[in-house]
Amino acid sequence: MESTLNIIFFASIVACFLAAAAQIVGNIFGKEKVIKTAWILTYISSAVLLVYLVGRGIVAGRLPLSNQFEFATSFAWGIAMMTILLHLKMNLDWLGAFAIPAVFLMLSYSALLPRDITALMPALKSAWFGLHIASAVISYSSFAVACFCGLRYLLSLKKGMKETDAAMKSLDYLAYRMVALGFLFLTIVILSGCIWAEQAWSQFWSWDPKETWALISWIIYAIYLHVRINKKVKGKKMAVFAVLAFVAVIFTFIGVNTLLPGLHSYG
Amino acid sequence: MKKILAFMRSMKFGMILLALIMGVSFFGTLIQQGQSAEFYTTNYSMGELILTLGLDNVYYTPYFLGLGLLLILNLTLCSLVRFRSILGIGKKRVAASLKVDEGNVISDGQRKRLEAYLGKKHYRKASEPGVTVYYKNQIGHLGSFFVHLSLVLLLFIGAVVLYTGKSNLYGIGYDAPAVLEDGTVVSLVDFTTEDENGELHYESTLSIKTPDGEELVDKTSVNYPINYKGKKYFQETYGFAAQLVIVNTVTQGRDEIYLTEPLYLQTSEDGAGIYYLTAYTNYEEEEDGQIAIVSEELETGKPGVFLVTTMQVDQDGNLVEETGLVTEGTTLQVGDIQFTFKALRAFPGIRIKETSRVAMAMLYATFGLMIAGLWFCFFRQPVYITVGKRGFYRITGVRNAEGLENELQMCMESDGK
Repeated sequence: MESTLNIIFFASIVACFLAAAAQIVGNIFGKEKVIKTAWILTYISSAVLLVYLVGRGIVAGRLPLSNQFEFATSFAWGIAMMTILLHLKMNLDWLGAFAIPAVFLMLSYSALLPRDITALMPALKSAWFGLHIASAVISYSSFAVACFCGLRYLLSLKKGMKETDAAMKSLDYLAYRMVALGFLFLTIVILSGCIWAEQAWSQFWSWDPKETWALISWIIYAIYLHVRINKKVKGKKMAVFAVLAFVAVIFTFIGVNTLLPGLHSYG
Repeated sequence: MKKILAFMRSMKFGMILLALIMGVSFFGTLIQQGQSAEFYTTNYSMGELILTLGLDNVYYTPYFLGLGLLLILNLTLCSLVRFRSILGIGKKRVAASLKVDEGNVISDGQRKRLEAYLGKKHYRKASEPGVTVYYKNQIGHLGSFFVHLSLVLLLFIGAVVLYTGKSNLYGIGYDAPAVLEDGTVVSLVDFTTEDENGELHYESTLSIKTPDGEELVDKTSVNYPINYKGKKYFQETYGFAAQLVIVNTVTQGRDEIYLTEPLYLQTSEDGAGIYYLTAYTNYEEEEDGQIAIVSEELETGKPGVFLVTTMQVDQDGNLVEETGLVTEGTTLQVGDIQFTFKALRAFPGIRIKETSRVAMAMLYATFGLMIAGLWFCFFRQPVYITVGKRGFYRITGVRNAEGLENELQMCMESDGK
């Protein structure tokens, strides 16, 4: 069964690579047909990845969110789903050119990690497991999309578009909405983590590197929202902010696990 | 004074504090926390500076706690201001929207379609002659206040829970119950490290006897603490104990003890006895029956070997020492006393925590308030749409009305279906 799962996993990576390439080519050269094909490939690769995650969950007998590999794969799928939903709702063709290559990179990263299906560690056997980690997937995916909006905004400025253009305003607003969504879910991640930590380790907060970096990310996005809402700062500055803030999220996810082991080190 | 107060409650001050807390926290993850002074001077080129600035235990330094206190102050003042500003804001906004007398010009047909659409979307309405205000999501006005209030409560109650709660770790052995300050006796009934499928699962069965004579026998494991009479019993860690059966062959007296650390058990006044040193689980038995220790790390689920020195008095009255490894089940005889090393057994470290239930309930309520506040703040934004009979409409209250503007334009341009 595990070898079948491996085949499905690598099939999703190949499909994602093709989708990413088509998204980039289609968007750079403005070829409608290529873009359409790119989205079809995106749907296919996301569906294959979903099959893989569901299959892995069935084999493991739990949600596939217990280690770095499973989180990275779920995170990649989360970004893909967020992108597809926004594409369906708002017809954002450009988003695929940023998001799907990022999904491919994330899948490539997860392909480098051990894929063995292991038993859940005692600390992870909790009712909070699903809520805590699934919220993290939604939160990080939202921040990723906000980052892509920021990148698109900055590129558009370079291409000569003005901050007062309607398309730029809606791009800026979309980034804000994605940060707001990510912030809400990051808060759920932190608070559910506190409750879980109290049940597992008897204390709500222990300044573990992962906790601390989640707090740092939370503070960064709290500053973003305050500056955006209260100081009415919009446009280029907030686009740069959204891009830089995502670096903290990536560090919380990859950097902390790699460089700063602690209570959250689950392989 | 007014200027100072205004600054203390300002967003600018709050942002500065958050940035400082973030910066200090960053250093806290960069530098290993809670190590010995020698560790920092050996491993860090700026070890002395780290110790001087308290960066070795940065989250408990006066300046970090001070930043937390200032943040509580800032949030409290900010919440008070917000509370004042949200009192009756819904009515005020409706009244203000009713006074709007210009906006985007629309035809009579478009106005009718717009009003039908807003009715379908369950907007509430307030009217005055010639003008109607459609509004919804007034609860959104509370969002920001809820978030800030919950942060104040979170920091405050968190501090109360942290500083008023009692929490102690007890190593509870099979023959070594823990007696708590109030007289509660906690005894170990059983401790296992694996479940029925062989997967890691640390679980202690405890007997808890309160001073009033009540007794509870229950299981505690990681994530599932026992909650009994205001105390929580957490399965936190575990250690190992050598189970030793001692039999006096003359009197047939029998005793069973658990050894967790080196201990000398003297059997006679001339110094004979056994000296228990330590135990191992990682070892290999060689062909000649000798035991070779692979590592000192102890693992559950493996039989133990015990390092023991026996001291016997020989025929000349001299004390003869002999140190060696003995396996489980081995019996050593010293004089009339038999020592049988039965097994190496794991025993749990149980954390017993006492926290005010009211404080805990308030803390959980605060978590809920924060989530609700963020939801109201970002996803329940108040909307007020003024529609004038003489052909105009205007949106107020929404932070970015573009999306709604497009939606309304589309409904007015359609044929109303």
